[in-house]
Amino acid sequence: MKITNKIYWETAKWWQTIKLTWINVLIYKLNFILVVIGPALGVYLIQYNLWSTIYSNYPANHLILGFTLEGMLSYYLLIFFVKFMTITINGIDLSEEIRLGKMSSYLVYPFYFWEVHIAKFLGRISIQFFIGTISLFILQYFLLKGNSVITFENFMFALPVLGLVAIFWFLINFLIGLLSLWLDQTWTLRVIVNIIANFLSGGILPLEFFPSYLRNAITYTPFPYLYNYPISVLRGENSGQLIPNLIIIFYAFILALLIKFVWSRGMKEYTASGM
Amino acid sequence: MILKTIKHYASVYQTFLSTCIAESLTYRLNFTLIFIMDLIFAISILSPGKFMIDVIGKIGVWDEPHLMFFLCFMICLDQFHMFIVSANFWEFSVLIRSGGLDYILLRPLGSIFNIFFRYQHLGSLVNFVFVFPVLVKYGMILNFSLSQWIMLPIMLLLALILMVTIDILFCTLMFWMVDGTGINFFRMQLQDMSRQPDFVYKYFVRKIFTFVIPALMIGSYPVKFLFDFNEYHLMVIMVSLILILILLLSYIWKKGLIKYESASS
Repeated sequence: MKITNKIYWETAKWWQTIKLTWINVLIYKLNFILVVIGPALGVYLIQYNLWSTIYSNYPANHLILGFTLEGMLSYYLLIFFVKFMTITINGIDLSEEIRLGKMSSYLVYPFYFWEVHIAKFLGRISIQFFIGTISLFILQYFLLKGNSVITFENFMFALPVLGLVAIFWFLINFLIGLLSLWLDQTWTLRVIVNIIANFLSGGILPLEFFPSYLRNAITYTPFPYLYNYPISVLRGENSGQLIPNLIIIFYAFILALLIKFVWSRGMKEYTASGM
Repeated sequence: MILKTIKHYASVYQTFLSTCIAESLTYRLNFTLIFIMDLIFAISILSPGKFMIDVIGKIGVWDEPHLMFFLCFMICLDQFHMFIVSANFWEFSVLIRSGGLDYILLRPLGSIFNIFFRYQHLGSLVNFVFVFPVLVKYGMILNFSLSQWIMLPIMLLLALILMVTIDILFCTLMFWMVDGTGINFFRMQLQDMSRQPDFVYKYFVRKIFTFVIPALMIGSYPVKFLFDFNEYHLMVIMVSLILILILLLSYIWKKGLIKYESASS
């Protein structure tokens, strides 16, 4: 009876937090569109126009480093999709909670601080999953003239990879957010990580365009596994490979250890300013 | 009278700047991080541009030096934008939400000046030292004449005025919103768009983002004019549009101030 009760209350805590996140996110719909959907869609529209113009100088089905126009456009459509399925802005909330002293109230809840944030993350990512999937099918219908970018089978294969990448992003954002325990502002760190990740993972330009020395160097970093690898799985090119998944897990594990260390040190520094 | 007003505003701006310098020297880590962030940002714009043009050779009528000059021009513009105004747009959204705007509106200064020119990112200005030589390098590859070099800072200034005017116009919409964060993200999207030459966009998109929301005009028009002075009509259009936007801004800003309801009182 006791165990059943415990499971019930645990589930209720998680469920209520996820529901609250849905309400908070969707109450200001325009803001959600501009903050979450806008940037991802904007990047795609820029790349769509840019590459359409570049390929217009060549005959149909011309290949640039193995990409046809259709292949290039579907690559950027999948970038849009992967970003949507993996990156949330949970780190911003965390920084504010620490900076304004709101974290104190969480510390007395019967729900760990990191659990609250995981629940919030699940709430956000579930909304993005829903909107991202619908947007992908609408965009491929209108912009790629109905040509299928991914099959259902590849989509299912890619889900665990996307899950791992989302965990990686959650951990890195959580770590940066926790640094608010020492730093006045953490937005610069978040922007730096985002710019580097976007650039070195093929978010701006496919890695095939990079010089070979740079491509080789970044193989040892987690970056190629954030966009480039999930996209190749979605396209059915790399499914079933174990090593890339292990690399993401390895880096996620390192981040988790760092978070544990930063949290234990940070709690000694926390002054609950703003209380 | 006008000279006295200019002198007054200049002395206030000097005070704004000196407090920002003091802040930067106190919080040195923030200053360093902003500097690193801008440097990485510049690399992340220039490198993909270089990698891409190395493979494809040309975009429209532009080859490598043209494209790289354009990208450097846009990064220099971004550095100035970051230095002079950028921080204030994020601050404005907080001021409206928290009611802090009340205190600013009570000051005997123009509200736009007081709100959007208060904070500077000094780290971005330092970064300019790294980006400007790259711009000069591509200008030299393109065999810029003396008149082109003289026009370069003027074009940068014009582009900056247009960029800031568009940004403030969009920020005015925050008076009608509960949370203005989304507007700031939208502004950043427009800046992303402007970092590509206007001719890469399809006809309909190009017309909308040149004449309705003139984001594509920011970099493309001044750079095209610098490349070829025969395109002077672009400057006539740009200056006229800046004047129209400034008039529109003063009208919408007044409407926004009327709409503003203090959160704190």
